[in-house]
Order: sequence, then C-alpha cells, then structure tokens
Amino acid sequence: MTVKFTILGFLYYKDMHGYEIITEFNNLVQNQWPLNPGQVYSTLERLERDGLVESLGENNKGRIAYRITEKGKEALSDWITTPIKRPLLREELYMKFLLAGNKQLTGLEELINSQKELIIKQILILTDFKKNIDNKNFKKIIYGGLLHLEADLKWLEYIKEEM
Amino acid sequence: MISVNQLFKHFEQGNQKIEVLKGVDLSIKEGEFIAIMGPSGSGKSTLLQLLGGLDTPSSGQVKIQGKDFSGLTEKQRTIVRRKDIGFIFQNYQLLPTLTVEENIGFPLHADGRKDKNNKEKIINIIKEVGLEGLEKKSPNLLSGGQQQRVSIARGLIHEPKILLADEPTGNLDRKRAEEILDLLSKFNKQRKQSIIMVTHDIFAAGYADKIILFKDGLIEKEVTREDHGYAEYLASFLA
Ligand SMILES: Nc1ncnc2c1ncn2[C@@H]1O[C@H](COP(=O)(O)OP(=O)(O)OP(=O)(O)O)[C@@H](O)[C@H]1O
Ligand SMILES: [Mg+2]
Repeated sequence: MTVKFTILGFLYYKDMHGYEIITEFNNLVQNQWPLNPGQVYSTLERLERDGLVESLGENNKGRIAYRITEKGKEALSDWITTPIKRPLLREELYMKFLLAGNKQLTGLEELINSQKELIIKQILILTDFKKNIDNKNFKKIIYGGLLHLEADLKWLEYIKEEM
Repeated sequence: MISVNQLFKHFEQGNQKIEVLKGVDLSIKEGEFIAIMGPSGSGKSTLLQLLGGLDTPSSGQVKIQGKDFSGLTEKQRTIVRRKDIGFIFQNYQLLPTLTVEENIGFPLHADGRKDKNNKEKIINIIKEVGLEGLEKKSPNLLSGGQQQRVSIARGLIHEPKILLADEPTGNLDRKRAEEILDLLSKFNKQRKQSIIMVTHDIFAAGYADKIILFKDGLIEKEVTREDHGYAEYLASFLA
C-alpha cells in the first residue's frame, strides 16, 4: 500500500523510471526502509493497468519512464489526507504479556528484561543516527520513533514495578 | 585534556565521615562527549564539582590540560575555571535581577576585564541558542527550556574547552530536552568542546560518545555502542 502511493508521490513531481524511483525512495527514507526492487516494477505495472500512471515508452537504455495521470493524482491526494490508524492494543508484546500473566507461563521477567535491553539499544542507535544526519525532516521522524520508545520503556518499567 | 587520578572525597558531618568518592580514575580527550549515569547519591555531582575546581579533593589529582588543579591557589583555580571551563546546572542558576543578556555575559566581565568584542560575542551566542528577542527580559519570565538555553549560552560564552553539565535536561520535557541536547551536540562537534554530562536519562546519554556508569563513589564501567553486550549491561545497571 505504502509503496504504491510513494511511487505516485514521486511521479507527482516528475516523470521517472523504476530505477530512479528506487534511488529516490532509498534517499527519502535514508536507507531505513528495505525495498524490494521487484516490488517497484510490479507495482508500476499494476498502477498502469489501473490507469493511475501511464507509460512513456522505453528510453535508449531500455528503461520505461512513467507519468502520473489525473486519476493517479486524485488517488494520491485521497491517500495523503486520510489518517492512519495504528493498532493500539493488538501488539505481539501485549499478547505475550497477557498469556504469561494469565496462564502462569514462565518467562515474563526474562521477556521484560530482554525487551528493555532491546529498547535501550534502539534508543542509542536512533539517537546516534539523529545526531549525525542533516536532513531536518528525517530528524523529526526519528524524534517520533524515540517518543514511541519512551512510551514502551515507561510501560515496561510500570509492569516491572507491579510484578 | 582532563585526567583524574585516584580521586577521593569525603565530607565531615559532626563526628561522621561520609566517603563520597573512593578513588576515581578517569581520562577525557579533547572533543569527547561523555555521559555519567548512576544511582542518586553515588557522587556524580561531587565528581563534577571537583572536575570544575568548584571544590577540592580530599586526596588525588585533577589535571586540566596537564595542569594539576590541586597545586593551584584558590585564585589561580578561579582563573583556569573562567578560561577553560563552563558549567550548566539542572536548575539553571540564573540571576533574576539581571536580564537575559546580562546573565549570558556574566562570565566575560566577572574578572573585571573589558573587551570590545564582548558585545558581539553575546549577540552571536544568543543567535546560536535561539534566544533572539528575549535579550532584555528577566530570566524569571522565560520557560524552562528558554532558561536552560540562557544557562547554556552563559556556560559557553567564554568558549571554554570543557563543558560540565549536571542533569541539563532533568527539568525539561522530551521535546525541550531534545532541543537542548541537539544544541550541546552541535557545539561539541563544531567547536570540539569536551562535554561531561551527568544524567539519569538514557535518551540524553544516547548523545554521548561514551557512557560512564558510576556507583558508590567509583566508576563501575565505561560503555560505548561498539562494546559487545553493552545494552544488556546498561539494562541491568539502570534497572
Ligand atoms: N557539601 C556536602 N556535605 C555533606 N555531604 C555531602 C555534600 N555534598 C554531597 N554530599 C553527600 O555526598 C553524597 C553524594 O552526593 P552527590 O550530590 O554527589 O550525588 P549524585 O550522584 O549527584 O546524586 P543525584 O543523582 O541525586 O544528584 C550524598 O550522600 C550527599 O549527601
Ligand atoms: Mg547530582
């Protein structure tokens, strides 16, 4: 879903072929979001089939460039303005906690400790990343990630206190 | 840059002797950003005071750029402190009777010297920490984050080689804390200033190159992200 609209987002600014889209994508997400190149080409074909983009034919290197259509622009604008809903309670970590808490499964303490360890690692890695990049918007994304980690850490500390 | 050798500190209270630092060894290079973490009462602030020459050790040495602090007179210590060291405190410690720019400029004329570049220095640092427009205000009228910016500007106005920060984000919410830390990190990188920051906050410690874990008057361990098993160690230390 995201890949589909991200491609439309790139084509909104300029006509591009698949390889260019992959490069732009990796730059935009600072290589933090693994992308399967095959998925880009298959998505472009599907977008063309659905009339959201049109093919401009092959260039001399055999690469096919695409252009966004009016229908594509409308779909993009709908997507951009629609809020996204995060799963709040349906999380694997919470499921583990419920099972271990209710059914006397052992391992809750080990889970909490290893989860905390992982969160600390992620905090340090993200902070170091934030410190070392110049991209202002991406710094803001990292701040979002850190706020989630802060909430997770607080929750773990709360669970530990209650044990 | 800073080296600490077998540092001991005790306080006398009545006929009681409280041992606070119990033989600390430490060395900090130019441009290093260090975080010190550890339980309350373990002696972190006391260590920082000794590093900055605000107090004297019971025994042991603090050397700043090769100069032994303990060999200096009170007056000589003050000179080193004014030249090479900046302080930032959790509770800002601003003077309410002075304006923002007067507080920031304080370290420049504390020794009575007048320098016609002072005005320019103050204007520049105010810009760097983002306090434009607030120059003539009393610090009492500012938010916590703004007050901490004033204290950072004051701590850095004389371009010290070493910045000592005792829980600089302790009173701030996450957003203000991140702004302050971004600022510290910028100065650390641009000016190669060494920073030694005491903090209880793992998010703040993440900005440092190295985390020193302090416990019961001693350094228990130094960790960096390159060390094997560092996260496991931190998690259990901070539990
Ligand atoms: N001037 C003093 N006189 C007597 N005891 C003192 C003095 N300064 C500090 N102490 C004692 O030394 C110990 C360490 O204090 P210090 O302020 O260095 O701890 P800290 O690690 O900074 O703690 P916190 O995380 O709570 O700030 C405490 O037991 C404190 O009561
Ligand atoms: Mg303290």
